[in-house]
Amino acid sequence: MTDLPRIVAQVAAHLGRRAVPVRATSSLARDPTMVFGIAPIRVVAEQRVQAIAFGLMGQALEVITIWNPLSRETGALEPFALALDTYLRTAPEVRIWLPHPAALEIIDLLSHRYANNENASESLRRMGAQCRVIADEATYAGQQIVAVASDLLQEHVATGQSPVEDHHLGALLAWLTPPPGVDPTVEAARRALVPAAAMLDRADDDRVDHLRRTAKGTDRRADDARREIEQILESGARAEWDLLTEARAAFWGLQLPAMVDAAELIEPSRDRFGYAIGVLHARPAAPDKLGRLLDAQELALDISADVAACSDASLRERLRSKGKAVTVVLVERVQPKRGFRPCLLRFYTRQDVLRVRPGAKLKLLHHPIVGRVVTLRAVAGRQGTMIEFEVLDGVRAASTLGRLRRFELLDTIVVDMSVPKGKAYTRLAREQPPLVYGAALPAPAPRTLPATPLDLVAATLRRRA
Amino acid sequence: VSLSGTRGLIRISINPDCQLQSAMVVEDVREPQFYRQYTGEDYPGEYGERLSARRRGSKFESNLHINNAALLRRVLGPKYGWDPDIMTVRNFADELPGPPTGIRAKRLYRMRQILRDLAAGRDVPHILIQPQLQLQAERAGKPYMFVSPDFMVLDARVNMYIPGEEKSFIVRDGVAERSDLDRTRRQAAAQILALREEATRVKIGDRVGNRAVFVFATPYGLSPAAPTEEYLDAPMREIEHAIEALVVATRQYAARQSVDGASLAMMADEIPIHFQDSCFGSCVLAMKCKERFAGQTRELGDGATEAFGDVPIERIVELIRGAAPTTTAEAELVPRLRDAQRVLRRIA
Repeated sequence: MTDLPRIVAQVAAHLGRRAVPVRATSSLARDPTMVFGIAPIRVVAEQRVQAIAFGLMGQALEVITIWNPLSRETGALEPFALALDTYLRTAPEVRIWLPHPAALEIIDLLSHRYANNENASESLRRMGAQCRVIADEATYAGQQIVAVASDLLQEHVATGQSPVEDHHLGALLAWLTPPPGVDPTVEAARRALVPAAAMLDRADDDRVDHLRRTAKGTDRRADDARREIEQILESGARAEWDLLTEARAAFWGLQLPAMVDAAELIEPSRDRFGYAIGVLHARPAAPDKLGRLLDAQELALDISADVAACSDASLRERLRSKGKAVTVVLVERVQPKRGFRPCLLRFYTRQDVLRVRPGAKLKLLHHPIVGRVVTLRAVAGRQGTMIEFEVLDGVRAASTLGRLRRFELLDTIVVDMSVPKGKAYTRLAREQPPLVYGAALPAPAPRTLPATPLDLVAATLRRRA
Repeated sequence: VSLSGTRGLIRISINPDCQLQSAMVVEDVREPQFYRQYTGEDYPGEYGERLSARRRGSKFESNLHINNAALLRRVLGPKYGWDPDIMTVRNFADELPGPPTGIRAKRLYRMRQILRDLAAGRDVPHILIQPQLQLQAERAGKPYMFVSPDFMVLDARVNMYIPGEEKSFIVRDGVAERSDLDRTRRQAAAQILALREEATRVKIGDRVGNRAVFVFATPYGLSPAAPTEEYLDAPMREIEHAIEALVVATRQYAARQSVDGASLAMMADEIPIHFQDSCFGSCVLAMKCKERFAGQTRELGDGATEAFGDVPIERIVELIRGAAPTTTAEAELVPRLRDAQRVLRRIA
């Protein structure tokens, strides 16, 4: 569905020649005191790391370069492994910034290549496993550990160019921090000529590729070639780091307030990441474990949507235009005994688009009240709808709601089924049914079933045929 | 790199409404040269595959093909009902080496012999490397184009070949990047259509399924991941649509040229274009076409064009500022714009 507010924001950005926020709050909680940044450079297509700029952001930057990334020599990665491990062990709160999804993909590939590699050193295997945890955490909606700069900026601002052009972090930044006196359209087009996807620019890449042949020798020319490759790689990694630093500054420069209920995202994210980084388990493969993973991701998605809706008025307004949030006025409360069930609230709304039906469970924004829609009916002689709402949770709070006051109903109720589902998965793992765990289908065991009307229909048709 | 053959068809299938792009395919242009002829400047961006990517691609393929395609046999054999050790391979690139332009007809002749043998129930090779097919697609006076799958494998269950593509893209946990897959699927779709045409010549076209097999790389060097087979009905429809568009484009281009014989670069500005988001990253003219739509909603992307149609951005601003709608479409848009404004006011 078209996100019209974003498109109108694009129109505003086009007019004002500057990016325009599309959210009222930040989906990312404030950075902790120690923030780790990673800006890798890969060999295109091979997806192997050939340089990484990394370190505590705002403090000393380290750059490693690998002149021959296709060799089996991995020693050059050790300083990165050490720095990452030290950070993850010592940082009171973890936050890792990456410039764009391409960098995240490289982190994930490091995990594939080193986490279980018996030929790699212990520290590189640990680094691989840590990278796996980082990449996995990034897949949870609303997570607060991994900050991918270009994704975050695209989520929070609209520019005067097409969203597909916004994928280029440099071009996107041209709309956030345009150089004085330069049209951002022109600047963005200029920047887009050089890739911002964890790779060197074309000329440097071809030069490095050419030099590698010479660098494999043992003479002085080989030394010079290696030195030149390392210089090119270092400058490429530093450029990516600068992009990351600029993007992070631009994001915080938006000065969007934190979400009111951000704690509901921070704590699960911190707990999940802390546990995973402590145990460094392999990725799940068994059906029960995959089931748990999918449930955890769905729950994170629901919590994230709920927190965003409760905290951000602009997102709520979007939900309202889709009929998933409803502004109502309390016209009557039917509660024979104050503070006790039954409690029926009658709300009146003039909202045109309503995507609620009898039976739908809704919550009252900023009140601990959850209920079910009993009836919806048009109000005769007036433009509007009356909603009868049976309070299920929070009957005492419902007793205090003022008549003729405005409220907001939301359909973003989070239902956490992890405990009963966890029991089901435990049972599944214990019993290992062949239909779920087996590679082959069980042998057929035909049964005689009682006749059904369908059997009769089939028999009649056969007779006729 | 020119826009000939399957490459051109894929481009049209992504944006069949762009007559300029179709004309470029008809004319078989080399994009950077065409950009220079059209603009008078060198293309300022990056074009074509990087050395590292080209090297990896050819290494991956040669790795799969060495030792009588041992690696390819190992991954494909069990999937298609053969013992890899008894599989026979014919590598057309070894049998008939040379530049593709001069060798295609010979390879096609041999390929047709193999299909005749298959139809007659005689033994045929289990794997064909670099086979040649022909697809009916009218372009610049030629009624057909050559299509060359990376390989084809005989499926024991249906006794028919399945086209296959070898790509050095890395798959993680058995899944390839979506962006990597799109073009590969379209490429394979053209191969299925071509194989069906060839098989129909020997009356076994009904054996050809709408499926192709992909062999990608694991994250660990150049070893192949488990092959994935896909049904490609949707990409096939798009390629068929592209073939029809190509026929129309060929006629339109011929009609335009017949007026004064002007070159494509000279008449490019007169040819209708269909600028869309997918032009970025696929066509060298993307930025130039964007310039044609300066100040129009199309400049803001497909979403804006879908929401407002092709109108000046200034008109949207007027409507937001309260101008009276003059068309039904505008009248329908006004309340939605009001809603959108309300959202943005919450942010300001």
